[in-house]
Amino acid sequence: MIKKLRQFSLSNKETKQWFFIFLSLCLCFLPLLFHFIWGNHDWNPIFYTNKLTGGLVEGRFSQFLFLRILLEGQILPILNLLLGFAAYALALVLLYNRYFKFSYTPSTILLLITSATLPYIIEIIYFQFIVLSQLIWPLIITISLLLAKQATINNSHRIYCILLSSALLLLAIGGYPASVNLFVTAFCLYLLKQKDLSIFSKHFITICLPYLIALCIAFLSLCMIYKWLSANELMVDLYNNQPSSPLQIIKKLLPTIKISLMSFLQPLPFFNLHLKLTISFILILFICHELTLKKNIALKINCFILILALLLAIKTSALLSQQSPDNYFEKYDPIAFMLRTDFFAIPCLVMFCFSVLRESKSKLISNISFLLLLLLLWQSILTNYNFSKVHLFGFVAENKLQQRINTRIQEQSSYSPKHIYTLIQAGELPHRPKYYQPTLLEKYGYYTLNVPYTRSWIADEYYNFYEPITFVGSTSPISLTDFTPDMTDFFSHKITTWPHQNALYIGKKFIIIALTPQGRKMLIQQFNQTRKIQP
Amino acid sequence: MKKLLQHLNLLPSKTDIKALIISYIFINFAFLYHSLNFMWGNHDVEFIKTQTHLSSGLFEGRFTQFIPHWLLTNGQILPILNNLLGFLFLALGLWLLAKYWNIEKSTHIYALFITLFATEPYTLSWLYFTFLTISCFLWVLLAILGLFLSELIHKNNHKWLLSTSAILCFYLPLGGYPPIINTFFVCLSAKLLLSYVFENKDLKTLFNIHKYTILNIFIAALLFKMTLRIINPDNVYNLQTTSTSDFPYKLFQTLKISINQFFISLPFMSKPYKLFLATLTTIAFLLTLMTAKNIKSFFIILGLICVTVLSTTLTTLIATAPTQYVTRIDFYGLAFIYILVFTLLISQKTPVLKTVGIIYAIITIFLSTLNDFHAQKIWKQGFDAEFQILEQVNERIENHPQFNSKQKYRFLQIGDISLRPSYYKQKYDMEEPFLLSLPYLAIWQGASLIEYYSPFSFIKQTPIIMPGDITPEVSRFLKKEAHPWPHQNAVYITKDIIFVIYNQNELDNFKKKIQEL
Repeated sequence: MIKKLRQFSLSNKETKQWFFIFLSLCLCFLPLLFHFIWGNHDWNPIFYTNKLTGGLVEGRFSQFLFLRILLEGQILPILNLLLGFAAYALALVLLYNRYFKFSYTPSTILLLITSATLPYIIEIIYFQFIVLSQLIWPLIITISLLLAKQATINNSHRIYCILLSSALLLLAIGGYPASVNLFVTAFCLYLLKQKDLSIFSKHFITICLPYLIALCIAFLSLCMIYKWLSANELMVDLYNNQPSSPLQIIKKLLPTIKISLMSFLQPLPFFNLHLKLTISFILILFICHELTLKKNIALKINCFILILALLLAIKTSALLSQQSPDNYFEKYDPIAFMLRTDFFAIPCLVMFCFSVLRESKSKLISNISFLLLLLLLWQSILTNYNFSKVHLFGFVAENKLQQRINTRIQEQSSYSPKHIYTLIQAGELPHRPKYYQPTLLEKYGYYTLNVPYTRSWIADEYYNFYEPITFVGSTSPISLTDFTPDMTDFFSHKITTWPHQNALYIGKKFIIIALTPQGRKMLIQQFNQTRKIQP
Repeated sequence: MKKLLQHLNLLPSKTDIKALIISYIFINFAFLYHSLNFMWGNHDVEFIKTQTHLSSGLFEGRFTQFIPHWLLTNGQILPILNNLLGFLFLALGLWLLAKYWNIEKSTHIYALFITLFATEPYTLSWLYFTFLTISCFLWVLLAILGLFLSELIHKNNHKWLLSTSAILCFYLPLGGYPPIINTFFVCLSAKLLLSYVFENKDLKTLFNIHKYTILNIFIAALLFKMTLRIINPDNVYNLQTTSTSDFPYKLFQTLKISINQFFISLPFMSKPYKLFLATLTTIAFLLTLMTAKNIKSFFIILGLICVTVLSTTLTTLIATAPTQYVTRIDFYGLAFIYILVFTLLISQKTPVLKTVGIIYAIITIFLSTLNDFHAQKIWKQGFDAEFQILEQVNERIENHPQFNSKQKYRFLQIGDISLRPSYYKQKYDMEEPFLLSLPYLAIWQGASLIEYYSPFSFIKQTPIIMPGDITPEVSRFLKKEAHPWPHQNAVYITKDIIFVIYNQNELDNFKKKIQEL
């Protein structure tokens, strides 16, 4: 028994690798470890304890499982990130040593550090309420992969291994569906690593079967759980919890390959063209290396098909989920360029490519890959620090504005601390772009740069956050019966944009703030529409 | 690469690596509070918000100042990483100096040597301006590398290659911060002293070995001067040099300063701290003099000690601007004397004196670390207090009935507020701008700072006030109503100018200027 357990413990080399990955992640995000800052969904999760059922609304039934188990549902400074980093580092070590079974060389640690610190992680780090679970899912999926791999080797425990593997995969995709990308990507890479494997051979089917069964069980279970949650009105149908039909999946195969290729080239905020091109170059080098190694045309075709499959695997979540073209997120945060979904695929891919290139018999390729490794590592470190800096400044600046608005509210004679108000903040003022120098051809960057920390529809969460009393009850819109003569006067004649004195209205029930010109315009439009409807 | 480093004796051994890691961790610990709390000096605002450019230092003749930033961080100033990189270069430079001075090789001696220098409060002076931290610590590494390579020339076949590399190592720091010349000569003369006393090398041998060093420094200085001619910088204070007629007087003054600097107390370097260091320095020099075998060698040693001490004030002798008792200049000069003291003590034959040297290093590191943490506390308090005022001023501007966020204003700050001194209660002989007295809300960066945390961009970067701007209303306000902060009338907004008044003296001066206009 002890012998059996020992095989699960980390060797000295693995422990060393884990320690250095963990340390580098801590160093890369030291400003965020030391300064406790949070994203725009985190105000209430930080204030209160997170319930186990907290993620059900969007179908993420296991989202808070590990937060409950490890931190009693609390979001704790430093610890939240440290635990996440520890789990993520372990996932990479297990993937490298146990799943792919790459050999240990002096550059192994450097290679693992480079993969771990790739800036795909920055969007994961933005939200405090999911960071722990998001960084644990790679570990859960790695264990799921190891079990599926075990099922191909061990005949006696095959069914148990497959069932356990699918259960773990379900746990991970139940917390964040896009984590499936890691499962499929790592599996594709594993197939690429098998020498002279023909996709038409029996051996190929033997290898694939456990993974496919685990994936199907997990995916079908997830769909069933979604149905049950929807039927019981526990889940709201959102953009991120609608699975595609089989026909839709087939239709989306080619477009998904296209977006997969595009995602390697499209610069994003904190992911400049240099960084994208470096990663693309590594991938091209890897593909060329793999194709040249194959001895005959059949094997070359095999390899090519697997590479196409790999391109699909990277975007599995995009393939399996429904997207509507007029969706708000399709415009500002398209699934093709979400760093948070790429986080589950690209670091693993980069790690694999480097490991293969480093083991190449050609010294030139090995040396080029080492230089690229150093270049990528340094670029990633700089990007991560820049992200921390912009995140920090943006957060501080928006909080300062928030305090100024609160002070203005409390200084008004019409304000009474005994009232609980409905607060309407029209418009938002994101500050982060002010501290960021965009580079060539950049687009998007929804959570990493453009959205504010203070979203208008959760105003009650942050207006009350630093106040000794709760003065904002809700942010519900004004109804017909709520209009008073002074409110009508405010909308008709006075309303101006912040920081003007007339940007603020305080009545007996409502506090209205016209924060931006767009917000003001929207308020006036709504007011006029209401007046038209009013008899 | 490995072979080349081995050939040049630059490949660190296990002992070296251990010592470097230990000292690097300790240096980072000593300045941890500063690293974690991202604070920046009063020249940094725009650089932090955007980035530094290669040409940013050209106007004052510092043509290489931003090369390290540009190469290492794409010109960005990044929290924590800025200090981590700076300290890494400093630690490497000091490790190289330990090798250059040929001190006893052991982990603890090397670690003490590096830590002793790096934790001295002089290091703090390079943390105030974040845009200088990386380069100004890198200059130490390059300067010592230049000395190290120059020493190798006499016994190496690749004389030209080594000479060129050494000249480059001297030229780059000179182009970034000319007072680095102090380091060249302090470290060189200390090396001569140590070689003469402990390696029993005579003056002729020493001249044969080190003539290349002098030549390389001279060529680098010549190239530096030529470059200045080509780039033709502005006529700034820090490029003006002492005229020949003033030289004798300046030399006398500099001699006085080179002695006084051991006793003058500064912020975070109290009298007892300085006296402790001065006492140990005297003891170490006396012990070294006692090693003289005859009168001739006594005078040679005395001469070398005098030259080493004098070299610490070389910039003061050359430059017209007052550079005496300025910590960032002393970082390149006087600070090296305190590690020379350690080296002299541990190089003595008597074991007791070696122990004294180690105890001296431990006590000094402890005292310096206390001073560093004290300084970091005061800096943070001053920084927060000044930025709180800035926030209140911003709130006043936003609430001002005349203010329109869509409009662009010129910004005029009258006076500044320096709050670090309010939190520092100890006495000192000389004021030190970078360690204590400089404000964060300085006049010259008021326009950039005022909208730093604001969601609006309302400042026009053209602060010149023309006679036409002084309308009767403005004149009346400034003469009769204006008061410094925190008075209600400390913020005044006209059609296109925002006035913020921090200081009564500056307000009075401004009133006089207006009358002249």
